[in-house]
Amino acid sequence: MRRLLPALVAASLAAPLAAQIITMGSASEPKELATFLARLSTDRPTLVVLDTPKAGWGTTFRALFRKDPLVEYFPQQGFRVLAAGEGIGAQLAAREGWEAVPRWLLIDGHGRIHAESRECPTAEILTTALRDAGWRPPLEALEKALAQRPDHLGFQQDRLRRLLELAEVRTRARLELPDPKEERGSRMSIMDGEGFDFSNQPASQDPFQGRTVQDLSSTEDAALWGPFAEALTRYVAQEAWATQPNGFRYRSMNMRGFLPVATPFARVSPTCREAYTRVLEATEAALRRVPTSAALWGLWTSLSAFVDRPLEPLLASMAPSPLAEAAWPPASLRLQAMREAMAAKHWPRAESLVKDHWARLLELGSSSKEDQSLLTSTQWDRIGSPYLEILLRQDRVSDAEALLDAWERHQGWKGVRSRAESLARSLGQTTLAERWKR
Amino acid sequence: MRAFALCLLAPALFAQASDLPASFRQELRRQAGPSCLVLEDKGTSLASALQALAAHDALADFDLSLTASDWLRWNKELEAWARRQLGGSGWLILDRTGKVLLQGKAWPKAEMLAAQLLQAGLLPPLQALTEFVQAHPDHAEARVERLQLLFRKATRRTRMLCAIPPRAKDPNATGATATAWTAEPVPSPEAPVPLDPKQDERLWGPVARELLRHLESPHWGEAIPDFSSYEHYPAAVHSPLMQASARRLLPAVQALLLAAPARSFALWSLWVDLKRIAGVPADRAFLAAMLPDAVVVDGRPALPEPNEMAIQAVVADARKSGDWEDAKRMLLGYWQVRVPKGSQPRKARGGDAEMLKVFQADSQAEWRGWFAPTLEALVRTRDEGRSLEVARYVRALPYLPDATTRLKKLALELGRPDLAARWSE
Repeated sequence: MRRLLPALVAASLAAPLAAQIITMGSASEPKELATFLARLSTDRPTLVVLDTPKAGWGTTFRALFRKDPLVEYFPQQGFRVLAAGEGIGAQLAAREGWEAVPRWLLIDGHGRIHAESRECPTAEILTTALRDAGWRPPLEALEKALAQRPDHLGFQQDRLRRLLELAEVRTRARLELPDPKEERGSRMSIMDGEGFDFSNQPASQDPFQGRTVQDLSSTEDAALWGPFAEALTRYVAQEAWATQPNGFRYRSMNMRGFLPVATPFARVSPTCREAYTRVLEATEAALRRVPTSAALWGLWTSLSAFVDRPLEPLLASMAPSPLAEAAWPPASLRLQAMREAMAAKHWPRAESLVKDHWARLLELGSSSKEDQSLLTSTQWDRIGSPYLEILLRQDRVSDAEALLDAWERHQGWKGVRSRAESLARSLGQTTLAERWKR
Repeated sequence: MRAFALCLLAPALFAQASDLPASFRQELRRQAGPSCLVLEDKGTSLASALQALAAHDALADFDLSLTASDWLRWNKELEAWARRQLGGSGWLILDRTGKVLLQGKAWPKAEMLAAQLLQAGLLPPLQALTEFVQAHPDHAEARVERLQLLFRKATRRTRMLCAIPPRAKDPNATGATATAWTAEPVPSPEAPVPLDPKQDERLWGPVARELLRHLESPHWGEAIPDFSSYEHYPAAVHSPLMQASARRLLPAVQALLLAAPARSFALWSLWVDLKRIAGVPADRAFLAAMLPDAVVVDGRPALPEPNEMAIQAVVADARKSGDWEDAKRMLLGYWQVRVPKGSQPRKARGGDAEMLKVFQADSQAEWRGWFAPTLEALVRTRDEGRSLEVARYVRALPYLPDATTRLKKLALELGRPDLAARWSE
């Protein structure tokens, strides 16, 4: 059935509308177009930009959403750029009788056009069009939810995440840093217990691309990072903030939502780092009460690097319960503590921290054919290679040889000799490097 | 007995069993106390004998359980290891490092087993925790571990005293891979026989007091006690002391649920357990505040769907009382989020076969926990129009091929043969 839907209000400041109705559901409609329209949200309109290579509106619109006032809508979920003369863009234009020229429209899943223009809009025009079409910046919606449930930790966390995104995008604009590539996955990837590394967070793209950076001026810092830092500090001051999240016994991989607040931009913001210190103090206090909480350790690890807070003194201040003693500190933390001990050149301590981990890795590697995949190059780099270095630093060459032999006996990753050779060479052990080369 | 005595004389036993499968060794590390492994042959009843043994006063603090034996069902390598170790049927007790502490063909007397465990260097976990908590009163994790051990100990003893049969395996359980719907909860007795005050104090007094102490301390939500294991439920319903504690604590748990992320599984699990121990129906105002549309922003419900365990508990209330209003609101709240208006299940495509198998395995639980109660709630509240909509959706699910048969059967069970036909249209 071909449905005709009434036109709705056009944005008052948008240019005159050529058409107010998109027809939906025609049997003769090209399949891609039908699918495209069917997938548009019915709750609120989607901003569709028909672009041409010459006009480059896609880039222009994206830039608009990274600056005030439209930044309030960032990250823009309902934003689609289509080529005006190709594919779905061409099908849409043909059906509506439009020329293949740049055009933008706000259209919902019912096919209703809320605004449409062939003029490239200013930020103000687009903001007004979005508001008139019923869009509200996400933060506004969260404030409304919080007004109804001020104590709701879930809403508070969403608000924190939102404030963080805004601070990040505004800082990026202020420092004229290039836009990031699309990042997939969540900010945090926390695993519990054995064999996983808390510090192995998804590598967020370095916005500074390896350059040395300076702190923002105090005025800029307060303007850009003040709201986030204040909300974060308030959050961890609540008694219930560290309530055990999902996943302790069920859906154990799902730690989503447990305070994913780490950002590489903390490197330029003293205000943000100050808030991290408050979070770390609260986290450490909570960890002393629940020392094996994977979620709390994940949070601690994600923030501690920014404020140079070492792990070993914290571990020394904690008492594991008798039931957790045998596996204390948790395997994943032992690796981090090992890295700290290595940095401090405490080789025997570093060895004591990696020893069990190594033995367990070999044990699992030998337990079944299926498990042999555990002895991968990644595991060598995480566990085997540091262990080898620790032994070499203590001039224990025969133990180092035994380590390599054990890895090979358990049919671990084959590239281990060349990696070991480079390591020996970098430590000035050229004779050994030559031997391993052979 | 002879085999047992012989084993104790063999010093090699106390060495770590080096050929113990690595995967099992990892599992042992996760246990609270020592693990018992029982290898049964035809005619032996070592597993059931352990239940009585573990509840005995002399052994209660050791928290002996058969957790490890579950592994034998699917870990053939472990079974072969145990058979080699025992030379046939028998039992083994291993510590958390994989060391075989004791083994035998038949169980010795409780006092003797306790003495031998102590001689093997094993401090009862409950004793170790009690000493630790006294030295570290703010250590919430150890406090909860101790509380859970106390709960298990009291449960075992109550089971023996009240002759509560062990929970039978759920015939419909399929391994719960994709669904959030848990197995059918163990029904509480209609009118649990209360323990006499003396027995109650001896068995449950310490648990009730510890429970109050923990849930009334600040930051208790950081370590949420877990009483949900099927093995030791629902013995606490026989304890007036536990009932009183549970009634007193439910508001605190509800307050935290209102503030904390609404889908905290551990917290919901505690709510369900306390509610069952207290023997009270769910608080109506609390349930209403947890529904998705309890907070509406820009015309849309802002809270997530109600928790599945909570729904099951409220449906159980409804079946008991005949009042289906709360259950209906919760089930429709779940529906509202899970099945947005007008949406239909995606049709199966090529390549979906494996995924469909997974879903089919769980569809029993989903049918029992979600679809059937939703339809029942709608019928009981005379909302038949909406039941047609639900039935239509259920019939379109690619992973529920026998939906029509199920719908007909349900309609007949509800005494509505007229709906049997309409639900199939």
